[in-house]
Amino acid sequence: MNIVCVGLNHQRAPVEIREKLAFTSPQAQTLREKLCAQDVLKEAVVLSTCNRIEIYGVTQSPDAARQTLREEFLNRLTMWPDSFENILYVHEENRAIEHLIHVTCGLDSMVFGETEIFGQVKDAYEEASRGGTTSKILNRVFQKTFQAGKFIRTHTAITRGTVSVASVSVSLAEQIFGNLEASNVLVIGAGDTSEKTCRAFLAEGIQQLFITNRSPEKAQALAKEFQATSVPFEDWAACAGAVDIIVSSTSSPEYVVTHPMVTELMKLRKNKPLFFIDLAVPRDIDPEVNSIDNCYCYNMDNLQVIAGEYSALRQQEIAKCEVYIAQKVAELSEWIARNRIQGGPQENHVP
Amino acid sequence: MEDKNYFLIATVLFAISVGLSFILFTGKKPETHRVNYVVMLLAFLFQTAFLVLRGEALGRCPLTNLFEAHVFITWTMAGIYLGMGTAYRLSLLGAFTAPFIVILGVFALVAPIDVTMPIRAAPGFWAELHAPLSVIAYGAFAMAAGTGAMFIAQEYQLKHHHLFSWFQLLPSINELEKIVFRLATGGFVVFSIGLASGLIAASQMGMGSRIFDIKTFWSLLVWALYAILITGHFMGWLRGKRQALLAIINFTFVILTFWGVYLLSEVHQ
Repeated sequence: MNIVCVGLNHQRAPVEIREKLAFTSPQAQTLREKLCAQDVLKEAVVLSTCNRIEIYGVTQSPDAARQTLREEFLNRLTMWPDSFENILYVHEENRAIEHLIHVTCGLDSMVFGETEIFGQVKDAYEEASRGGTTSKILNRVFQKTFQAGKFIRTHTAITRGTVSVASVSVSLAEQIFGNLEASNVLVIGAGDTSEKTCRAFLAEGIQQLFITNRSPEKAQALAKEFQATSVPFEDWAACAGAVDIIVSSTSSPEYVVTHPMVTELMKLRKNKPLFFIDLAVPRDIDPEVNSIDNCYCYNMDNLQVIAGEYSALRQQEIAKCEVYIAQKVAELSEWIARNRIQGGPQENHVP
Repeated sequence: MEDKNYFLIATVLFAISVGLSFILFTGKKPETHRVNYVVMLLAFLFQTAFLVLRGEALGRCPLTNLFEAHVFITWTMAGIYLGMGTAYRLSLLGAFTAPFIVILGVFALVAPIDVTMPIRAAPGFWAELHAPLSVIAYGAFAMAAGTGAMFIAQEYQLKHHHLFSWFQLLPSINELEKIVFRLATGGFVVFSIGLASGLIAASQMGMGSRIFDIKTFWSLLVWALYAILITGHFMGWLRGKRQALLAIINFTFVILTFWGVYLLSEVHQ
């Protein structure tokens, strides 16, 4: 049995490609089941976040698995970029485990050391586990990975400082508006990312927070939690004239905020500055909005550059992390080798 | 020591301030802003010494030739900076101000413009008020242009998603926009009073239609340019970058045409 990881991330693929390849939960489930049913993989986990799309699997025939997984990615693109070979990476065995631990600890994240990815990997694993596409090897590998993640977070300075996407967004907002106490914020989408962003802005003492979502129940629940104002999704544009910062993180396949919409909005605002933070992949905000006077639009990729600078301090902790990761990889590698000798994996739960 | 030497020392100190500003821009030694502030303060004191000595010698406000007008404008700019620059994040305004003061200072020292004008009869209160108020307004317009340049620099970084090391040292663009507007408005109010006092003085001196020479029309044009900036801000069609650009364009027009218009105006000479 071999562990294989095929995927791409924000370092290799721009948001234009990532948004085409991103999997929704049902799509990921379908793919996992298909790969296991076709016997390409014995076990499969699909990790699809804003910054990466990766498939982790256990296979008896790595060459065939590599080829099939590569085709799965290519089939989702209408056009093949010339440099696709360089965009996609394949890791096997120890390198795949090491990569998974790096990802889970935030060492491979856009915002170095961020902790949001830990929950996303956990969700991806639990979905696969519930869907019945994980077994002894991936169960063990993921459990040990989560242990490693917790240890590194506790015993190194990798998560110290304000370098999350949300805090970088707040920092940029301060460079536009100064003190945020007089600013109003509209959050479109009521998912995890929105929640984190709400918290970051509320911590700065913003004047008023508006939350809208296609599903009004989620918006109302989040609004209740933050003592914010819930706005019906079809009416959000009407309240946008009163806000200074618009954060969007929906799963809409099309732009939620368009150029003509913002042009009209700026007239209402008498051209006062308006800051857009697009945390969604596929993007929610037309990037052309940035060309409008007094509008500033940042998407996930734009935040990467800034986050990179802020994370310089965290980079100094890499050496400590690598020592621990190497130890964990060696332990897992030894366990997998021992398991092979004993006759391959069996369906059981890892303690 | 000759009074002009005080201005020479002030200009040298402003040149040192330019060097310190470069260090500030690297973002590695933010504490340099304190040293820079002290250097600017010293330079301002030397400028003041020049103006006091020259004023005593003339027995009136030292604004009798182009050289003195240069000194007065740079003195106003330094004064406004020292008043506002105490706010930490405005420390970089000195970096945008000092180079311009040095250019004006070197030009004033090199060009043969410190010409002794024939002593005239005491011009009266309104005439005495007219020139200093106008020059103080030019100083405010210059600072509005300098702050406008800061706005453009900050806005460029935010628009292009490329943040330099000094990004965090600049004020927010919202604050910069307000400062540009306040300086332009403050300058406009002072300039308006200066214009009105000039007209009153001309009327008292019985100048009649002779007052409507090229300098008066030029002044009304400058007044209109800043009136557009202020109106545009209130109406909402001149905000942010456009406002900053107009503040720079307006002052560039003032500084490039002031000397020529002054020399062409017999009344004002």
